[in-house]
Amino acid sequence: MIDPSLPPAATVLVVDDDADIRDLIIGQLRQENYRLLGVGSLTELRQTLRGETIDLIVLDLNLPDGDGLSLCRELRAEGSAVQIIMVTARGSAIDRVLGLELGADDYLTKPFEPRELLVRIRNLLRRGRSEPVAPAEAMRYAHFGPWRLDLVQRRLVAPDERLVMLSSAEYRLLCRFIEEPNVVLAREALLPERRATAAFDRTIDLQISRLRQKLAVLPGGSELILTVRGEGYVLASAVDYS
Amino acid sequence: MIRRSLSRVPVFFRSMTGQIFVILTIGMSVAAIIALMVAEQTRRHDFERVRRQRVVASAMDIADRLRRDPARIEAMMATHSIIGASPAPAGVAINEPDADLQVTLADRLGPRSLPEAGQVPLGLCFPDFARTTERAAGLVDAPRPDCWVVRFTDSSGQRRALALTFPRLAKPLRVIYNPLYLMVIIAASAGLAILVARFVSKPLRRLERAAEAFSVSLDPEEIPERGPEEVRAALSTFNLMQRRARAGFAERTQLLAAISHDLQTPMTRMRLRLELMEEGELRARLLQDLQAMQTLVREGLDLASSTEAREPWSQLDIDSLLASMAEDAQELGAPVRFITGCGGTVRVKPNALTRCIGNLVDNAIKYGGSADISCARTGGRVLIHVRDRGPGIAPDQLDQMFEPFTRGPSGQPGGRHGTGIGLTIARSLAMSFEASVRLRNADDGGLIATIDMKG
Repeated sequence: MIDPSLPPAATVLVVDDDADIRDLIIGQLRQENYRLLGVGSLTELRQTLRGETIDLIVLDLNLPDGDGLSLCRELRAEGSAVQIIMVTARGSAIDRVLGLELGADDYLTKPFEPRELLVRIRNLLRRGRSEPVAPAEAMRYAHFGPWRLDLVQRRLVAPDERLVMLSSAEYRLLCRFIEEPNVVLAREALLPERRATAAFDRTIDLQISRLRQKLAVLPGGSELILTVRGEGYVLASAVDYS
Repeated sequence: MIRRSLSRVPVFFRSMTGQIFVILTIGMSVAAIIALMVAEQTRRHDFERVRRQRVVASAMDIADRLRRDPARIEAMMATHSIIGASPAPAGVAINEPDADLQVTLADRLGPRSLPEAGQVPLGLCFPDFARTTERAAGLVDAPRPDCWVVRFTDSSGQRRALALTFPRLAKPLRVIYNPLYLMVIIAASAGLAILVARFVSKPLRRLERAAEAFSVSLDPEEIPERGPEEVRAALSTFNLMQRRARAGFAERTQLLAAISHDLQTPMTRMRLRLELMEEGELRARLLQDLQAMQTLVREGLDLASSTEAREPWSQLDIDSLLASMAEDAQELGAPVRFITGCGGTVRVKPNALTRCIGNLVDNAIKYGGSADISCARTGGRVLIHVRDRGPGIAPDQLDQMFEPFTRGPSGQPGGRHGTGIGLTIARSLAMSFEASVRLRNADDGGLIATIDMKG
């Protein structure tokens, strides 16, 4: 099954210092119609990149002659558009965030489900390399009103460095507002996963009211999210990043 | 207020500060009082000596004059023309002979003088004194002179008897029995004692606080090595011990992390190789086993990373954390409720606290079916309770639950699953932000896990 939107054979480069794993991954990927290459070190990887057109790299972070993270940053600095999936034994949230910040397109922790790797590679190749990393994504904080939103740790920071934690739902909601400040967002837009029933769903109102309560802790925080009757909600503040 | 300070009194006297205080106060007061008594004794002695010297000087003077011109002096004495000396009336008995005075006189007048001397009532010196006072105004309470009788045999063999009068010397006051002086002495001793006691116990208290910090946290600050030589040595030894303990612990953690980490590569290989196997029961079983190994390794890594205290401290709005954790769990359909908050902020390592609570909540759901999160402030501490409605744990097994790889009894729901490392991770996470985790059975059923930290 060849996806017609793709050029016939996307080239996938598997980088892992463990020859067995490299071969096994290549063996797995053979099910798909990819052109497959495998290397075991950064030096070989650089050589291959010079000679070949590579669409996607499956990159192990711990390589004998260097760190995959720095290579990732290097490639992005050169303006390379190759897609990168990091595969690593480092599983902490910070490593993941760091990997994605440094320009990886996806991140997988060892040991992984082989099928998951297949699915992710397929998705990435289909989607095509996303636009050069939007400035907002590389930034750590979004400032709005008196608050700062920590985009990495997903929590609010008050001017006095006090932390206010957000639930995942609140964070998603706030991110939507911050992406489009001063724009009235309909309930459907705020809660895409419940689009069908959003008009009657009270969940969104409950979440908004919780979020408002948390924001109202600071003076000037209570007027941030406003209700526009019949239309939805709006974040009434400029947003800038740092 | 008063009752509280009273209740602290026994505590104070049991403390080293209290004991040093008591010993020094009593010791210094006693020493000061003894010194005062000695000084007073010396003063009284001097006083007596001066009095006697006056008698000796006067008696010697008269004896000398009598030797040179007996007749005239006798006459003058008889008519009271010599001030302070007159012939003693005959038949006066010396009731309290002054032995010291007699020895001195015998020394001066010669061994054959056989002196007798002593103080006698004033009336014997002035038989007609009553009449005299009647003639003078304002003499009723005036200090009356001292009257001494001295008898001796002079060089001519005649026995002389002299009545000698002197202006009264005021006896010195006895300061020692004055309550004011006593109070001043005791107060001064107490003041000094408290200073010394504090000075001595201060470095000890510093050491104690450091030891306490070390007992609850793996990464406490080193104590500054200040103070007297011995104290500095003790503090430095303590710091050394602290460093060694930490190094040992770090080594263990690194080992655990390294093993867990290195297991991931062969496990990845196994997982990939399993894909090459045909579907079947054997493959399914092997996948299960691999899954179990993965869980173990992941939790081993969790435990290893939980003891690293690299996360910075932050002030955290505690209720916002508890509420969001409950909401997140509810979103995933877990029966977690946030019951009561305690307001305000606490100084913690936020991710460590989040994972610690998360572990307790997971346990509560796994073994007790549900989790109720609440928070309370008592006595400067913040207590976060995670409560389930399960069967609880036998009291004798409560402490054991913190040991790695201990699980709830297999009979209870949820038993024998997982690695039994969750509570160990929770406790070691709590230690990283100087908190502790306790378990107890609720009176009305269920288990309460409590995170206890500074408020």
